Amino acid sequence: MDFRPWARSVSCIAAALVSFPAARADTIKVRASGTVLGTCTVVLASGFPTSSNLAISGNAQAQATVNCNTGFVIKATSASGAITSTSHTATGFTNTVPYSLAFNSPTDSGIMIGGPCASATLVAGQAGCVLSPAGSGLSSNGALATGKTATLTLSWTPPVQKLVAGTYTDVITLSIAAAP
Amino acid sequence: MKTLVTAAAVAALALGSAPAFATASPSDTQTYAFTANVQKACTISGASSTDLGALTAADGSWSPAHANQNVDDTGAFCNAAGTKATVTHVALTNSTTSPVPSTFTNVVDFTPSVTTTGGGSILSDTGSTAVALGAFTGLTVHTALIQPTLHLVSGSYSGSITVTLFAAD
Repeated sequence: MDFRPWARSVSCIAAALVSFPAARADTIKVRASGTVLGTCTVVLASGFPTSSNLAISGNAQAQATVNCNTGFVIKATSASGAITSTSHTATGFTNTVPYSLAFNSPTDSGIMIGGPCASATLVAGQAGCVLSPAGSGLSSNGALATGKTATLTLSWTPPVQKLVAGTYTDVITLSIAAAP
Repeated sequence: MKTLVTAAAVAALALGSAPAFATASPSDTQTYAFTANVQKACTISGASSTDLGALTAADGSWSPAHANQNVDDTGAFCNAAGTKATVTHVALTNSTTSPVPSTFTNVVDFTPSVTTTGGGSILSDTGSTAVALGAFTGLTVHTALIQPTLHLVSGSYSGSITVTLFAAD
């Protein structure tokens, strides 16, 4: 960056105030520097469908829009560690459906695939799978992502015990963090 | 003089870059809710029969071979915790003997009852009033014969128990 004109005017003003002899032309170069921090966002693009049949094996998908101007890692946290219902259970029944979660997304220079991870490994504090919240996370290996659409695939098989009637839910929190 | 100019330039750079530092965020999160429903459902495997055998001894006295009889339905289930049921019955009756002599009867009543693997039970005929039974993965229907006050006319006797399930929360 060249501040020559400005430098010249400043030096002239200073010279007048202190009555220095007439200044001669001068130049200065100032090296400007700044920092662009890693900026990552993950935004809901489409949620899971709400009509899944848990009584038979199946899967459901949701999508996220991923932006990150540096390499990054992805983690997922399950609120309950399974799809669960608050309905009371009885002998021979269960109100819990374990599942697995897989993540895949293109990046600006490739693709990242993680999982499937058993839902129990996605509970806060767990580190047993690549997406586990207390693990190191699924790395993009330095790749950036510019408006990429990631897909979360949730798969389940019916438990051995019959399912008690009711509404079943879980909440998955997907997190992204810069990892240059 | 060089020092003065340099300080001014650095100050300007610092002011200009402040907003960028404030908005940069190296991480983000997004939550996804998964929701599904398991519908209330009840099944019962269907009609089955049981033979209670002889009801009397050779001399005609009351001596049932199976005063208490169970019939299991291991395929029955209801997945709703609020399941109710009615249990009704038709007494054992010999309808082929008519008229019945006055000192005899052609009817043997019994007490029906139902128990389930879930711990629920209904211990008598409910009529049309549904009673709480709960969720279960199998049930057993019981018959407990009631000795008639009159002698029984000879012949074949048949009756029934009807269990009707109502799935409810």
